[in-house]
Amino acid sequence: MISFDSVSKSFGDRKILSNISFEIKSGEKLFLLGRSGIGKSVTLKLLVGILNPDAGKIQIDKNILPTTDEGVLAQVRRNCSLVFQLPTLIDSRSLFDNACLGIRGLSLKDRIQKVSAALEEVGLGHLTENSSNIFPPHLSYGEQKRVSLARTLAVDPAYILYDEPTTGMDPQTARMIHKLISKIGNRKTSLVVSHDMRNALETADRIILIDGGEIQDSGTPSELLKSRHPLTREFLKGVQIGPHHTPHKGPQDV
Amino acid sequence: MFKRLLELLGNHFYFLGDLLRAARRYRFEWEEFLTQLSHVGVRSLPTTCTAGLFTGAIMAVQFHMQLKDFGAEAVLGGLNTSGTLREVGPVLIAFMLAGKVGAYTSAELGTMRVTDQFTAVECLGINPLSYLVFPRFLAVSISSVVLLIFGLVISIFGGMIAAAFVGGSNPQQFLSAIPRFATLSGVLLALTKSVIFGALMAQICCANGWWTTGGSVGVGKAVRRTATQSMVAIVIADFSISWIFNGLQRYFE
Amino acid sequence: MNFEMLASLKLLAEILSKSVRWPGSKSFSINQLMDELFDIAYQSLQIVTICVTFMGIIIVLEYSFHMRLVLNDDGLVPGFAMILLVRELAPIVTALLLTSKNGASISAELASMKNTEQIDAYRLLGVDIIESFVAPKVLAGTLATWGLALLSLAIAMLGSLFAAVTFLNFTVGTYTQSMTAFIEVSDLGLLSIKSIVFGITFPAVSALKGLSAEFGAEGVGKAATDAVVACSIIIIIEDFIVTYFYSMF
Repeated sequence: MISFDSVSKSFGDRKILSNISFEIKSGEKLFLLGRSGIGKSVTLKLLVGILNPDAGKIQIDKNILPTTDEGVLAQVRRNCSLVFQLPTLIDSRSLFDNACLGIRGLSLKDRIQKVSAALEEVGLGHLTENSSNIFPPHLSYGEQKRVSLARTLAVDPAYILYDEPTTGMDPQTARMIHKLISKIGNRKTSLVVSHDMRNALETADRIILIDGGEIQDSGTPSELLKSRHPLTREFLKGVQIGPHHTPHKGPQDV
Repeated sequence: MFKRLLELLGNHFYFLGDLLRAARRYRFEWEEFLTQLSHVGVRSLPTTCTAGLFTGAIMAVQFHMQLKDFGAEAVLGGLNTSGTLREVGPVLIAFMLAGKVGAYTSAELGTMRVTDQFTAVECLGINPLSYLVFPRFLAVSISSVVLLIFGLVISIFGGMIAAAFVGGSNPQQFLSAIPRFATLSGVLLALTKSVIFGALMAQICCANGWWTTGGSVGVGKAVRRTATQSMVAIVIADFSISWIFNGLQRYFE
Repeated sequence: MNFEMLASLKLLAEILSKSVRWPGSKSFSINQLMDELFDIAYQSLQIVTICVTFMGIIIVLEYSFHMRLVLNDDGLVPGFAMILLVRELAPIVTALLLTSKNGASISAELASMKNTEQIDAYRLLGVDIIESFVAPKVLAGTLATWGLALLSLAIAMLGSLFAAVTFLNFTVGTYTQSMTAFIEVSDLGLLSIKSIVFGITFPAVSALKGLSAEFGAEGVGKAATDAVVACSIIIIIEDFIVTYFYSMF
C-alpha cells in the first residue's frame, strides 16, 4: 500500500502540490489525471525519492519518505519502479543489456530467463533470441517504450509507476501500451500519470483528477462519468484547456 | 568574472571528486569502456592523421622560409620536428580532438541527461556516474593521449614530405637532423602535454555533458561550452607546462 | 564522385557566389550584418585574445630554447617568434577558435530550421534562405576572423614582449629592434589572405553541413559536430596550400 499524507511541494514561488493526501491499495490500477505541468510527474518523483517533499510524508509499505537512509531509499526503488515518459534506453548497450539493467546478482542463465519472460510479456518475444545484437536505435519508438517496460518488469517490483506512458504517440501505439498496462495491472499495483481520459476510463480501477495542486475529483470510472465537477466534465468532453503547447519546461526539468 | 571563474573551477573539482568516488565504489564497466574506446578513438583516427600530417607540413614550410635566409636548411628536419613536437603540434591536434571527441561525448552525455536516462538508471539502483560517465571519461582521456602521440608521429612524416616538396632537404637529410634537436626533454615535453591535454578534455566534456539542462537547446549550449573551455584550458596548460619545463631545463643546465 | 557530392559542391558554389554578391543586393542590411558580427566576433573576443596571447608567449619561450641550440644566441628570438605568430599562429588559432565556437551553432541552427520545415516555409514565401540567412554569416565570419586575427596579434605582441622582458634577458629596446628587423608588410598581407580564406570557409562549410543535415534530433547533433571537424580539417589544408604558395615567392 502507498499513502500520501498531506504532501506539499513547491519550486521557488511556484506551488506544485499543496496538502495532497491519497492512497493506493494493493492490486489497484490508479490513474492520476490533470493538465500538463501541474505536478503529476513531480508526484511520481517524490514517490521514488528523486525529489523530497517540503512537508508531509509518503508511506510505501513499511518505508517512509523523505529519508536520508540510503538503504531505505534503495528498498523503495526496488519496490516501486518508475517507467519514464521517454524510453530512456541506453543507446550504446544492446537490448539484452538494457533489459538486464535493474537485475542484481543472478547467474547469466537466470537473467536470460527473466529477460525473455519480460520481453514475452510486452509482446516482443520474437526479439529475445537476437537481443544481444539489437540496439535501441534499431527499434521503433513504440518498441523502445515496450523494452523500457520490460526492463521494469524484469526487476519484478511490487508497484509500477508510469509517467505519461502514451504522450506523443499515435493512437494505435497508445492503445497497445494501455492494453499492456491493463494486462500488467492485473498482477501488479499500478499508478499511471496521464492526461488521456479516454484510455483511463477503459483501464483504471480508480481515477484522481488534480488541478491547482489539489485533488479536485476522484472515483471509479463509472462514478466519474456521472460526476458534476466542471473539471471532470471538461476532461470527459475530451477537450483539454490549458497550456498543451508550452515548451517542456518547468518541474519536469528541475 | 573572476568569481564566475572560481565557481566554474570549484564545480569541476566537485564533479571530478564525485566521479572518482563513484568509480572507486562500484564495478568498472569494461564493456561500456571498450565500446566508447572504439567510438571515440578509432573513429577519430582519420581526423587526427590529417591534422598531424598538415600541421607538420605547414611548420616545415614556415621554418624553411625562415631558415633559407641563413642558409641553415640542413637543420630543417631537427628544428621542424622539435618545434612541432614541443609546441605547435600538441596544441593544434588537441584543438581538433576537442572539436571531435569532446563535442561528441558531451553531446551524447547531454542528450542522456535531457532524456532522463541518468535518472532512469538511478531509479534502477545503478550509479550513472560509474556506469555511464566514468567509462567515457577514461575512454576519452586514453584515446586522446594515444591519438595525440599518433598525430605527432605523423606530423614528422608530414614535415618530411613538405620539406622534400619545397626543396629544403631530402628525406634522408631531414631524418638525420632530427636527433640533434628532438632530445629526450623535447619528447618528454610532448608526452607530458599529451597526457595533460587528454585528461583536461575528458574532464571538461564529461562535466559539461553531465551538467546539461533544458532540452535540445541545452545540449547545443553544453557542446559550445565544452569547446570553449577545452581550448582555453589547453592553451593555459600548454603555457604552464612549457614554462615549468623551461625553468627545469635552465636549472639542469 | 557520386551525385550527393556534386549536389553539395553546387550548394557550396551557390553559398559562395551569393555571399560575395550580398553586399550589393537588395536584401543587404547593415543591421543584420552588425547582429551577426556581434554574435561571431564580440562574443569570442575574450577567448581569442587570451589564446593567441598565450600562444605568443609560449612561442617566445620555445624559440629561445631552439635558438640557443642552433646559434648559441637568442637575440633573434623576437623576430623569428613574431614572424611565426603573424604568418601562422594568429590566423589559424583565431580561425579554429571561431570555428568551434560558431561553426557548430551555425550548422545546428540551419539543421533545426530544416527539421522544423521552416526552410520549406520560407521557400514557399519566396525568401531566398541562402541570401538572407547564410550570406550575412559568411560576410560577418570573414570580417570577424580578419579583425580578431589583427587585434589578437597586437595584444599577443605586447604579451610576448612582457614575457621576453620577464623570463628572458631582453629589454624593451632590444626586443622591438629585433622584432621590427624581420617583419615586413607582406607578412601582414599573408595574415590577411589566410584569415579571409579561413573566415569564408567556416561559415560556408558549416552552413552547407546544416542545410544537408538528416532529419531528426540526431541529424541536428551530427550536423553540428561534423561541421566543426570538417571546417577544422579544411582550414588546416587551406593553410598548407596558402603557405606553400607564399613560400614560392
